[in-house]
Amino acid sequence: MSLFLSGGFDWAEFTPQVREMIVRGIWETLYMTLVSTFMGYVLGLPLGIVLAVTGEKGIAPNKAVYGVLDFIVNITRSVPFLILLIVVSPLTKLIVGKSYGSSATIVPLVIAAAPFIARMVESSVQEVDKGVIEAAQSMGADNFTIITKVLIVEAKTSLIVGVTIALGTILGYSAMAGIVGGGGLGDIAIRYGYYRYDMEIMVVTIIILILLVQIMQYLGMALSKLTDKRKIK
Amino acid sequence: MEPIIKIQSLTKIYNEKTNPVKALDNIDLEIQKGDIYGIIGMSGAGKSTLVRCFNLLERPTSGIVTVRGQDLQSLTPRELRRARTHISMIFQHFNLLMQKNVEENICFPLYINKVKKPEAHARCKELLEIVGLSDKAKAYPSQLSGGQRQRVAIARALATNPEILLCDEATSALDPQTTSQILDLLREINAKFGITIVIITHEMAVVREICSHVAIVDGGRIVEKGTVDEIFESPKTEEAKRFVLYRERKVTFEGGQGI
Repeated sequence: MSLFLSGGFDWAEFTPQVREMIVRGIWETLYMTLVSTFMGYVLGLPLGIVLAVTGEKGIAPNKAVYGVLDFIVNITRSVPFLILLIVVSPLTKLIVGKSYGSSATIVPLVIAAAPFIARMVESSVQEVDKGVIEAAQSMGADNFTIITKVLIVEAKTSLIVGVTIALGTILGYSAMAGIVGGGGLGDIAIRYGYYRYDMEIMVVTIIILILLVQIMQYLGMALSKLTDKRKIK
Repeated sequence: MEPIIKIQSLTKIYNEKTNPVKALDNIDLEIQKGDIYGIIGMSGAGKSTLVRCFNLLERPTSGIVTVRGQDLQSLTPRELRRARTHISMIFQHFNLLMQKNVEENICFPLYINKVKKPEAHARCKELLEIVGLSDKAKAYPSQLSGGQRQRVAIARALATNPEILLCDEATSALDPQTTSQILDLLREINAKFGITIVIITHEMAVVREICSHVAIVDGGRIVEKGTVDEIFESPKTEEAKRFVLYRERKVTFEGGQGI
């Protein structure tokens, strides 16, 4: 509260308890983000590949399969995350045993992330040069080999950029889950900053969130650059 | 002798239902084992489509494609993949795996055929010697010139000991000097290994320099075919004359982009 009333930043707010809470918040946020992104890829990577492969310009076009998956992905992506969070809470309770806390937040996060990840994977895979695919076909490669040895390999750099974007987005979603007691830094920012007007704690948690996104972005981009052999360095 | 490639009444129509375009119209063609056969035509004449029917990357609308005595359209998908290992192909834009180095690119068709790694690497070494790139095994395609990239593509195409090598505008992205070096290499491969080579091109100079036979494609049809000497000495059709004359005037056309 004192930030605006006294005109200064009151470090006294940061008692050992508060500091401990913030550190725990960082871990919870990282835990939610990393686990959800990983699980999101477990579902979204194969889904995105199937979308790219069965699409009109894919290596095995299939209108029925593409149509159904495309529809499911669009539906899931259209539901606002906050609503999804509440709608899936019975499912969350079933899986995790409770509907609040950072482990519980992972369930809606994965449901929101998977279709979005699938779309990014689909687009990365579609970018692969058609000529290289044709060359592999001319050598007698089957579709499975083309997927594992050509599409994923050639799309590698773009896929890593996708992971970076997914991490940032999912971190943002995880903070939103603070509204329903989702745990992590977003939860702290909402409870202390928004509900209790404790500006110091809010500002600090938001700065930490920004830093986390920056670090992820930096590491992701560095990794994608490192693995990119397409350009002369 | 039975031709290694035999095309009978081949027709290819795109968009059959909506807006039909006849890309190939009733083509008959026979290529004998050991030939270097040129297929020349202007951009959009259908030559890229034609060569893609030789390994069924394109499915003909009608007609029969017989390669090495096999009616390709009667094969199961697995048998077709098997047959394709005997019919290699190189491309205008090389189509190498850009994220893999030269060695991995050349070993790729070997891995598809379940060749073990040490064996594949040994074969790769031989191939690199043939194409004159022994020092580039660990280089990435982005670090190579166009001519070097095409050499890698040729090494990759030869990896499985194919009987046929299809070249789709393989020199169109290269300068004249590099073109000439690549053609020398192809000639050498033909002589040394007896591989039948089919060359798709829009440049008469390429045909003249390397081919034994030539077919001239125009508007999806073969308008004239025969030995290169015959066609050059006495072209019968207008299209053939045009190609021979264009060569004299050194006018070149834009190459087909492939598909």
